[in-house]
Amino acid sequence: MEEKGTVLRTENLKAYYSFRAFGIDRNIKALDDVTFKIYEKEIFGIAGESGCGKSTLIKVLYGLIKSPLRHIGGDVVYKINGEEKSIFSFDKEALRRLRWNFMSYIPQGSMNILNPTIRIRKQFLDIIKAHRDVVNVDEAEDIAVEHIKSLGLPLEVLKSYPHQLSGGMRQRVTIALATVLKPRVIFGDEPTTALDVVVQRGVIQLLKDIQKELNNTVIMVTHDMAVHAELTDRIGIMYAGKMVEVAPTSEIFKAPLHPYTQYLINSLPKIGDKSEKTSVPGSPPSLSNPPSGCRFHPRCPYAEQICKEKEPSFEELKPGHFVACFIAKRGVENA
Amino acid sequence: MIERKRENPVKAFFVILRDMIKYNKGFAFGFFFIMLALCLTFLSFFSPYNPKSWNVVPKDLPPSLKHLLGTNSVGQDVFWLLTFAIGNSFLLGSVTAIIASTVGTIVGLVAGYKGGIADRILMSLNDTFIVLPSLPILIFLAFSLRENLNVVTMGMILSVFSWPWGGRQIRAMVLSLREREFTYTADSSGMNTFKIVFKEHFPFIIPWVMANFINTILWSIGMEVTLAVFGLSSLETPTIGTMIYWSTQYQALFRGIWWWVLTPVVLAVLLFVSLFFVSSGITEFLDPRTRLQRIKARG
Amino acid sequence: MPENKLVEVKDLSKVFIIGGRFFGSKLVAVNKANLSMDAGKPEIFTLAGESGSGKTTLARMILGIIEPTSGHIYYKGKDITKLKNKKQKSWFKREVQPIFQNPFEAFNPLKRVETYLFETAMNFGIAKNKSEAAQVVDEALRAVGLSLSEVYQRYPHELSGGQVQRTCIARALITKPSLLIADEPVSMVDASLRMSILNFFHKLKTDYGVSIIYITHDLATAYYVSDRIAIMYRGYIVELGPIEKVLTNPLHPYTQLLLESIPKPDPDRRWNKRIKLADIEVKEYMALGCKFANRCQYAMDKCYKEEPFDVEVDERKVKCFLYSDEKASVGSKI
Repeated sequence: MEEKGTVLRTENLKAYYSFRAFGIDRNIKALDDVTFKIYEKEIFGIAGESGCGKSTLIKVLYGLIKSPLRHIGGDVVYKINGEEKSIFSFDKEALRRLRWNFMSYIPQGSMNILNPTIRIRKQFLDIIKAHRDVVNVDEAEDIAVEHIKSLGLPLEVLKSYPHQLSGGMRQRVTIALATVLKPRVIFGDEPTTALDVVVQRGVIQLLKDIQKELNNTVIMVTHDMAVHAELTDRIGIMYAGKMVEVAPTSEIFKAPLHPYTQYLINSLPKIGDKSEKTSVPGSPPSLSNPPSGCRFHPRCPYAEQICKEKEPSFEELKPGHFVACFIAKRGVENA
Repeated sequence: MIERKRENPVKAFFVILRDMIKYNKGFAFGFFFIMLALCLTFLSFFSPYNPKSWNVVPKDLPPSLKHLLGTNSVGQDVFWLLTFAIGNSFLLGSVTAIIASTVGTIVGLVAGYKGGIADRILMSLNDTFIVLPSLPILIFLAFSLRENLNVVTMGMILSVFSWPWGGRQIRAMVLSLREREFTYTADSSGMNTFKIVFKEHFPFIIPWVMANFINTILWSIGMEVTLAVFGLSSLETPTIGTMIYWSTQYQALFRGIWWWVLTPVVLAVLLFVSLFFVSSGITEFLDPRTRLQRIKARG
Repeated sequence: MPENKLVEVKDLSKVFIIGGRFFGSKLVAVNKANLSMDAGKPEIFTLAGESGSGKTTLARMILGIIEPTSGHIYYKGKDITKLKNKKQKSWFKREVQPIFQNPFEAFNPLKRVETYLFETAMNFGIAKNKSEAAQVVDEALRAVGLSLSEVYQRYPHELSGGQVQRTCIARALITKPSLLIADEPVSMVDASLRMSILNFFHKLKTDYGVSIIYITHDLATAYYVSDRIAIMYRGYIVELGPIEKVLTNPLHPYTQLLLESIPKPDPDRRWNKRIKLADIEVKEYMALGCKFANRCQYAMDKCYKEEPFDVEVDERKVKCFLYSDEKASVGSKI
């Protein structure tokens, strides 16, 4: 396997939500000891169910830590122009400069980024002027027009207000806006989730095009495994605040090692396949009081005594295939 | 079968009160000040002087042990006058708030649930009252009715101008609650409209009604002060407003009788701040979202 | 009306007026929909379509929550818009029960979940007293794989999405309905729990004889669980037929586009064609003729002028002019 450059890695990352209401304290361990790497020039997918910590993870990666979310420990290290830097070493101003230029964020609802009262053109110019040393408007406009054209979007959108566009077009404009400064890392937080399937396909196509053109890294969070299958190169599966498996997309779908991933893949319905699918037994655990040992053990059909007592470490069991599971580890070693 | 956990409502009320005083400083301040004000009102029953008679004590005495807040230029004891003023202002505010909240809530509920013609008629009426310029009309009314005004009639007049705000907001809440899915679930569970309104929707509406009630008291007391400063109130009845009116009539501030002016002014400010804190404390505590947070935090 | 139909929907339309009584514009959410389900032959019928297709409006009309603008809905031979007295309405509510999309919205967040189950048992006269009700409720919960002690005294947020959704289903089952109307019942439920609910629907149909109208935008789950499907587009049912036929050999160009656009959970079968999205949205609601004509690659002149009618082809009804003349040689056409 060729040696790839790492653009981002986390080390034992921990982030909790703390609530304090009328004298009752509660910690939600949304991220607990998460360690993984993301390579340059890949589309990395993060999958998991609601409340597994995937949205929290990209918030922390993007440096968006606001109360009640607190950084408890561990590190997020970016490689910026060949230099390794921790995201926690940046102050507010440095983070502001990093955003849009080096990394950008596509939210689920486009209205979180687009200002409804300002024309799209002005929003592009504002972003360009705020983050690049561009003095005159023409230069900024050139960048915007160039970018819109290269993405194959109609230039008329620049003259419109956000509400004049359809939902799908709005989402594509949001993506265009997020990528106008050619960032090295793009985060997508369920960017296709609220869209209709036909529009969703267009947005996925656009994301693929952008990644190919900018030759950068896309980190895609969605619960929809079919979108991952369509788009990503590698996938990280999260469960109850932990990263349980990271592997190339085809391996996740064809030879998943973690029992949770196995359930997830096997329960996907497919058109043309009427065979009976089963769900994972039980319910997801509470993150304020997670189970001991492996957090999946109460629902795992293979669970043994050790799973209840010890936390499995996250190890590379096959080249490029990381899993946190005692049973899977033994299986691979015996094979 | 597991027995249903039933909390003693009286005990629950005190637990809530304790929690709010403990964790919400603003509410604690407001609550204690209003309690103090109510105690003062209670004291007025033991007043040695009739608040309506003049020249019962020596004039213009500064505060002393004998006259805690001094005496004024018409020969009244300011402290004992104050006890009556607070009571009357509270009475006025409560009369306004009780009438306005009741009418507003009923109008809002009927308009929201009945819909159609009833809704349109009630809301036109409601909007008519909202756009009426209240201050000029109140001045006119107070001017023409001055002879017959007392605290209760004043409160009734003020309520005419404060009910429509509540009405409109309750209607809006009802309309959105009616479209919530749990309303449909309740309907499919065979619950009748009466049950849905009182068991499903009231927990969302009550906090707002309570906050509105306190805000109306606040508004009403403030309005009376405004009218009284113009001399358009029942001037022989001691209220916070009329106290300010008489003190300015006798130019108390210029003549250095600061205790006469300052007493009602400071009281008014403290009362407004307290009522505001209590109302926002209640809203925050009863707000379904924070309530949910609390239930979650306990669980 | 024939008594052998469980539900019969005839030329059902719903027009919403948006923005003011006098100057508002009309939105035809459902346009002359026709469908029927046989009594005595339980089935799962899917209403599928994208957002704004009118599937939820149609379902809510069948449920009696929304009043139709025109057309008729017959349930077991009775026109449900003309149910008069309390007794008839109560009978209909017992017979047809809803399941909603967001399990956390379906129950009042400030109330304990079991209240609704007890209400249902008591209000419809299924149980005479509390202890009888507890038995009925427990039985219903056990049918969905829960038990009363698991949900007793719990608030909705204290349970997982899957548990709350199963409680919703249990509540709907207490009245022993003949028809369940489930609006996106699994779209808010986690993937790991989704299949258990769909499997339960299947069991309801086969073991309990309950018919289900399953509303969804997710064709893969529709394929997994249902027998027949109606594809809706902009208020019209454009294709209706057996699930196997419609989803593996779609006839209407819109159904074809829809199926083409679903991402498949298989990294080896990625899309190799590119699609072109409409740049500027055309006001399709206003357009004459077929609402899909603007996006249709087979569009003919006729499609822009006339409204297509239902054509019976290959065991299904398709609203498309492509099939109006030559019913026989359809398969080869596309």
